[in-house]
Amino acid sequence: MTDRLLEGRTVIVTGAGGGVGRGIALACAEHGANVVIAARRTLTGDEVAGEIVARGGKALSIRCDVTVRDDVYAAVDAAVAQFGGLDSMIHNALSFVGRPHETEVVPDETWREMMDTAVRASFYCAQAAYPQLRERGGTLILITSAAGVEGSPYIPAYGVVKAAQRGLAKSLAREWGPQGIRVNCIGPVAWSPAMEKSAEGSPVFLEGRLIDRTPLRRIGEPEADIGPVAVFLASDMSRYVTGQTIIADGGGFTGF
Amino acid sequence: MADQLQPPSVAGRRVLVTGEHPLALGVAKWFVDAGARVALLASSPPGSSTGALHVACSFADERSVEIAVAEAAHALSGIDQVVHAWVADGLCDNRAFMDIDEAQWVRTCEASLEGAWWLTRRVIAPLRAAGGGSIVYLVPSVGLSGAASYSMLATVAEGIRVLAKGVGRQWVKHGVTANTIATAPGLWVGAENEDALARAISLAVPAYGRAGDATDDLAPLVSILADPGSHFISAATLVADGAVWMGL
Repeated sequence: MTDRLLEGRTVIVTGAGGGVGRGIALACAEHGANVVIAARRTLTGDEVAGEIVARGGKALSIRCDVTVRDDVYAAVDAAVAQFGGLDSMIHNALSFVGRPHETEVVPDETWREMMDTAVRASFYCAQAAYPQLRERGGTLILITSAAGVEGSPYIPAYGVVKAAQRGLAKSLAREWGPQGIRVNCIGPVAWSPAMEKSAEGSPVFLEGRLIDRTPLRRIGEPEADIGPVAVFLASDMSRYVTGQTIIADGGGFTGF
Repeated sequence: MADQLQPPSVAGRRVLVTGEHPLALGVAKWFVDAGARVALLASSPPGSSTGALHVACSFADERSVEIAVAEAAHALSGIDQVVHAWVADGLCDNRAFMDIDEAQWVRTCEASLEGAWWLTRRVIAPLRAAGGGSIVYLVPSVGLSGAASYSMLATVAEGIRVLAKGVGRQWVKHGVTANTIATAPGLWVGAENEDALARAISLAVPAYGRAGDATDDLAPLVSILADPGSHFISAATLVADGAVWMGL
């Protein structure tokens, strides 16, 4: 088996213009994957694609708003056109989750954006990728959260949409397993622009509070700590793993 | 079996039940028969009489939910317990994921999640006004296990279950608990489909050999979660599916 676990395979990473998505994209490229950087902002997507190419990898940047069905299908089409197919769809993109809030006062637009980027976009990503994944025995990976398992009293709407993704992933794992498609989730904790924005002015999310509950005593690094988990799930190393959620959070959540 | 159960008295309790599904109707009827005052929020009039006050509610928009909850609270002179069992039409259908079009996804899956979200946001005020209370969400255990061809149902079930965890922790400060009861899938998808679903998630033969009954098997458990003796249970998932799913 090669040291490069994704050699020659093609992976789409949504929300890959920064944070966890960028880390996953870079890690997949390090393992030989052709990476489609699907980002809402072309500028950030191009930067990540440029980073990969500068490291000797293969990448394609495509503007993709995951809440727009045609954008998601266009990303799949681009992967096929550029690299000849698609082996893994990794849906990571999520809107700003808002600052800690009481459930009854969550702005409608915050709720709607989370539903759109997590629940609706998972639907789009799964359906758009399915024909290619079936053809190549591929994988669907949804980036969820420990909050999607244990809930969150601070941002309960976030827990709802992340849990919904897990329910979908478990069902698709059962439904698509006979066709050779694996479906899994990752629940990461790593610094990202979204997390930093949520942390502004909210002491419960300050770095110290997070670290207090993390046995490994640090917040994850997207490329070094989360990326390898995605590589594992996209590779044959996990060929017998489906319907699972791997929580990569330094041990903060141990509920399984 | 039913005559052995000794649930706490619910006489006079003011209970809001949502949904027109037989499960919702069964729970509502049990509470009525036990002496509770019950309002049933449903999109359409229930097919069978429960004795509960029917309050029309379109779960398709928050304003309608707000009005319906207010009407129910007014009619009951308050709300002590909420039992949410409403899901959109078609959510429980057996359908391959690739056969679901976007419109179906939105009007069944997303609408069911949003209905739960809006209901939750609107019942906190009357529950607080009552000095505290209980919210119980009823979902099928397929959310825990996943289920082929029931992806929308499982998506909604997990979302609602974790909604209960979030508000169940957030609202303890108001004296409001929130919990989920994960029931046998057959209560949602029909008894004729229960066996196939059970076989898909467990090697063992279902211990009870049946999905359970809304009135005799589930409603007493729902009632216990609003009893003062249960005040320290919140954000929990109680699996009452006849020992089908054993993952916890």
